[in-house]
Amino acid sequence: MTTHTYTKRAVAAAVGFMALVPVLAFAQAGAAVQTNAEAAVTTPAGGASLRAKVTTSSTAETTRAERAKEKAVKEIDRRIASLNAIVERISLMSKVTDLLKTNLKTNTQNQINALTALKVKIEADTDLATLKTDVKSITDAYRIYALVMPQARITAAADRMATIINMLVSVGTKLQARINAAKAGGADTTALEAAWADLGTKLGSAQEHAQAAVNLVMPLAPDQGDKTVMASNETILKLAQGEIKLGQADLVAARKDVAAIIKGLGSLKANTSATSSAQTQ
Amino acid sequence: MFKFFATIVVLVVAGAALWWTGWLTKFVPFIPLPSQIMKSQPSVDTTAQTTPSDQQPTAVNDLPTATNDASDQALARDAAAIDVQMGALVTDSANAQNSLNDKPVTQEY
Repeated sequence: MTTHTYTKRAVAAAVGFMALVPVLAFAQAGAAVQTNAEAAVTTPAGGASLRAKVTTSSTAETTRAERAKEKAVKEIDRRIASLNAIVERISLMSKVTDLLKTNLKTNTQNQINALTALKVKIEADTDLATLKTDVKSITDAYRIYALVMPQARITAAADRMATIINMLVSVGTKLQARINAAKAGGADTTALEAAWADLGTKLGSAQEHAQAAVNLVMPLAPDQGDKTVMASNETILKLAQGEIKLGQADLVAARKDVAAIIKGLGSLKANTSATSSAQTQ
Repeated sequence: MFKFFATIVVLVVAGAALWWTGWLTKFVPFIPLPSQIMKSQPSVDTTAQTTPSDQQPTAVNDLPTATNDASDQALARDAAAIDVQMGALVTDSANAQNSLNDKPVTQEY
């Protein structure tokens, strides 16, 4: 075995270790926030030129290997793009704790680092057996990706719901003042009060659904290859998404209540104005 | 002295009766602010260090107008801002659904 071969194996082992570290870190529920900062492998400019020729016995196998590399890189790039988008979305969350945001970001960033390292490794693979293993690991890593993405997306939707609830609560308080003023002026506000009460009910329900969604997705951890855990994660993620949809329906109904109250107040004002006008004539 | 205690008892009973019939709830301000509840949730990561910024937040006005401005113009602006967020929620919800439906691309090996 030549010195060159030893060097290649050492480099491959180092890169493989760097690829694994973020995945393991995530398995510990993002315990180490900054542990994997060094794990990000920077792709050098003109990374494609790094792609080494796979040592194969035939041209057909070489072509097949190159095709596998291209497909693998494309899939990795797709996931990295999605993960980068969710990192941006997490930054915009305002109603969940900073700690929760940090955890979501860390877990997502770990996945980005792991996939980036894997991409570099696949592009540099010169051994067919290693390439096969690396390509297969994309599918294995997908199970973490399939958890991180919905976890963050559902939390983002719940965060948005909380913002809307907050806004509607404030508007509800304003409308309450307007209804009370109209009532004090002798107007019949029965319908408006009913709509206002419904608004409160819908907002309370939406809030419960948003909270339930967050509570469901947050404790989820990667399945580590356990099919039972994987099935359980999938079920819980679907339940959480169901909570989002129910909460969303509540908010749509609450928004209609607000519209009805505003319209009703407008009608009261028009009636009052017409009555005053008639009385002065 | 007896009259004093009797009055106190009558007031307490009357207050309890009002509460029981729901009259007093009419004066209870709306529902708790969601931000306070959302932010009180434990995180998935129980081992990460807690920073001072993780403390309970103060209520934030998410509306474009002042919380005490109940004018028609303010309500119209508020409603428009809510509609923008509702539209964004549709996108968020769709993204969440898409992330659940996502499947890995089959690889060569």
